[in-house]
Amino acid sequence: MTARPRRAACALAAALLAAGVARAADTPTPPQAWTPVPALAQAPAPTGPVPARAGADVLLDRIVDGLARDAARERRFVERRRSALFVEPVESRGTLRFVAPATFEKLTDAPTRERLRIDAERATVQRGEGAPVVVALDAHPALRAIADALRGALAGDARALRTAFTPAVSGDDARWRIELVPRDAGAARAIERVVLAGGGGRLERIDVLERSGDATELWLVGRDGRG
Amino acid sequence: MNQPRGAAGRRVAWLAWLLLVALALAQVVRTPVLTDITAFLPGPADADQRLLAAQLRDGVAARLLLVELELPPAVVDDRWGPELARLAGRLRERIADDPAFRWVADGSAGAFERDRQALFDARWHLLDEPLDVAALRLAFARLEDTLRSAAAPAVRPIAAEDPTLASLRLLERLGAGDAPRTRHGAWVAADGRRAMLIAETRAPGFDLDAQQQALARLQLHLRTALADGPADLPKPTLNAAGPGPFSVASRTAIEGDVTRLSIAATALIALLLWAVLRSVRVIGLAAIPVATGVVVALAAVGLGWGSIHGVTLGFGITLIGEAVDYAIYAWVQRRPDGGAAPQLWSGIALAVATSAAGFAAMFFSGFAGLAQLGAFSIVGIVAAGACARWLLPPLLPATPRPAPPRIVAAVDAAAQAAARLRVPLAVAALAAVLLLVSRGERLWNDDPAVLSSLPAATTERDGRVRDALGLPDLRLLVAVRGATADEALARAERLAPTLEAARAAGRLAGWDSPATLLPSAATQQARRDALPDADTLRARIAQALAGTNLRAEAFEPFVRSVAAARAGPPLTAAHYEGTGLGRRLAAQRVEDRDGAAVLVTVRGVADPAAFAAALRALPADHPAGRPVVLDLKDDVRHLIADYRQRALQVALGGVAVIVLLLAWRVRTPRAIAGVVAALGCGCLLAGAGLVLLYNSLTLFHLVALLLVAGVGSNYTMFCSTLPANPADRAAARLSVVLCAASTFIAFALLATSSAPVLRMIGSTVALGVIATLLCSFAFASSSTATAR
Repeated sequence: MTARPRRAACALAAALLAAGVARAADTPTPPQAWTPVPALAQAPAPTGPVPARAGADVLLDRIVDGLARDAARERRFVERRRSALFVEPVESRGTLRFVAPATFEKLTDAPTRERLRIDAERATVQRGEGAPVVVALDAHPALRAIADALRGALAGDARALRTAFTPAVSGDDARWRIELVPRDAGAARAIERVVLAGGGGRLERIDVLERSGDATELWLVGRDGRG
Repeated sequence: MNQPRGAAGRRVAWLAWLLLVALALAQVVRTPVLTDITAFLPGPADADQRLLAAQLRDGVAARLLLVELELPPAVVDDRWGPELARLAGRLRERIADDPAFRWVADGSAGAFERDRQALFDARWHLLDEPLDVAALRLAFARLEDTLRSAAAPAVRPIAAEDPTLASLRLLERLGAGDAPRTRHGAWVAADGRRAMLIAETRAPGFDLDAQQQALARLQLHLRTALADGPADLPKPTLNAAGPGPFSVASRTAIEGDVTRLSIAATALIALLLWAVLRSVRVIGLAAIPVATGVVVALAAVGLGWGSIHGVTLGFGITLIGEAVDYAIYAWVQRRPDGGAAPQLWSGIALAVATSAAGFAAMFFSGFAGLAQLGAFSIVGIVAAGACARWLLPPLLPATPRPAPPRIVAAVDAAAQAAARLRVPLAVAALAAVLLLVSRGERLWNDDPAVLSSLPAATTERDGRVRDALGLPDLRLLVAVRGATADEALARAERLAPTLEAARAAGRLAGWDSPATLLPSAATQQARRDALPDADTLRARIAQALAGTNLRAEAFEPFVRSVAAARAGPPLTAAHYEGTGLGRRLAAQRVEDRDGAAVLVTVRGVADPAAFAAALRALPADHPAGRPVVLDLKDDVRHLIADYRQRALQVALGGVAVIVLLLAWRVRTPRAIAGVVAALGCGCLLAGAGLVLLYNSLTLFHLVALLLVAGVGSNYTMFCSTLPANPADRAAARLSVVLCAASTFIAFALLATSSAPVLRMIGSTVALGVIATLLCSFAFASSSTATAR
């Protein structure tokens, strides 16, 4: 990027850029080969009969509680994004870190060091040695929806998930899948749904399906912060 | 009885009175009450001020309501923030469905969706967007990076149609960067206690009945919106700010004042008269000239102006204190045989004339509002005087009950004591002169803000809401004129570099020209001509995308949007119909009989006076024509200072007339000197007292001081022409004290009004009445009758 700083427009563009993609040298290997089929089909299928609504609510609470106890404060990730605009899907790697109660960070190492930090109201972005840029999440409902989903799952806040999304849970404790449809109209214009999948008290995968047809799959790999 | 006429004449007089009062009442009930405080400001002097006044009075800005929902102070954390945001949303839905409102926004994303769409659709008309290969290559590289980041979902919906992200830059430029921060999806303040909405009423801002109804609808909507929410939400208060609510508030306050103060003045004066005169009948009779005067005066104002100002209505209270004087003089100075004291009637006629001379100064002050007060008072006292002269005498009791001797003795003693105060009073008057002179120009306060009847908390809240919503400060406006609307827009475009340079130099935080949203026809044409045709653009895109991970075919919507803009119709104001931007545009474009103008608003001007001077100093051949800087505060301040000068001249003329009238009455040089000394010392002491009280004087104090001269001249005159007969003398003195006391009561009550104009006049005259009465006893009291 050689864009010269052109007033605030650049600040916005930089902020949008800053959640950027990194290809770290110590790239973790994805747990399984990438497949060309749509990402959401990759999520584990429900194993048992679809639970009754009350049962689903209980299961959601239990899963999310488990995630909070698991306290996977720091996880490596591999992300792959497909888009009708792209010739080839694009990949990125880095570290996701959650700091209770409401902050999480997405750190990438290459080609430019980037740090995306999202708290309750703002996304703060630092690209390279540049000054941090702050974006209000209210101005970007799509970003807020993704932030809400990640935060809800990582903080183990089922109530927050239910506030921002209509959740549908399937599977059992060993193998589960939570589909989140945004409630906010602004978010729903960009995001069709976010799918969280995992098992055994661990979040393994986050899928984001956009209205445009673009899809992002994010695999959480490696060990948690307590190592 | 010294009435020359018999029963037939009396019947004619009463019939004439009945007819007059009936006609006056018919006029009064047809006269609407206004409280527009601008009536008290000087009228617009030129086309530019007319423009400003019209915008402030009738424009969109005058229809905007800033609505604040505030939770009780007991709520200290953000716990209720989300619920408050939802409440604001429910309130917005209800206001949007209400035909009394044209538009409403609560900061929610949906509220600005139409604005965003309108800007997106107009982007090729609004930006100089280079679409050559180099620019496209840069733009696509940027886009690709963004789409690879986690921020992709925010940009992806527009990426295919607007890959250069022109619409985002446009939003930035139009102040999205200064837009109020939203929290929980609404304009909720950081403390989570306040949420804000902005609404536009359908009725104009000066239609106070409609504005009042709109405010009532807001409260109703809040109640139903609260009913749909959680029961445990602390009940928020609804504060509405804006020209409409402010006018409604001051009208309500003035109407409340008029009722409260009239009742208080009537009761207190009746009590005073009862204490001294001990006759219910006389008090009842005294009410006849008062009521006649008020009704006839109101009718005269209604006839002359078509409406009556709330302040005039409030001023009517003082007529109670003035008009009751004539009945007092008529009664107290009666002789036991039922005849009037010598010169009583010519004295009352002179009293009416001198008071009228004082009020005439207000009439000629050049302020529409003061002229109304002047006309009201002149008509009122003439009617009351005539009433006292021709209707009352036959009705007064045949034998007066003497006033309580203790009171008579006290008044006499006070008069004697005052006579010994000559030297101290003269010294005090000299000190007053020194005080007034030493102040120089600092003596005068010409700030129009002193006229605002709004409590400081209200204006402060307005400022807070305005700041929070990023609305421009309306104090400073730059008007760019043109023969046609398009010429005005073209000139505003040429002013942009000057404003941008000022912004870059930190002299202002921002500016907002309607030409940004609606460029001139020439600019639009130039931008359309610069757009490539579809085939050229496809070829450039293919070239720019070489070596990237982006697919050229995916950007066909971009090609189509450029082609559509190139072939489509020019952008007009209709494009923004029904959006907040359309509102802004309408507020900034004016067509009047002087041509067309656009108003450029500015924000955060560091030094308004210097900024205005710099723009005014642009050369006459500047391509932007001659922009006019309207500085609401400073322009009005200068006008007020000019009018103050003129009022001073008028006041001096008024004083000269009063002195001439008195001189004609008292004749001897010695008596004339006494009269002038009494009046002069009284007014000086009152003026110095005001300076000590308020630290500075306003135009309204000045005019009120002239009123003091007019009213005080009555006391001076009666004191300087005291009858020789000791009994008559005591009665005359008592009547003067009674009159002064009733006038004091009326004006002192006026000083408690919530309207600053009334407060200023009330306190000045109340102070002046005491000072002139004291000085009249000291300087003008004659030991023998000097005039026949």
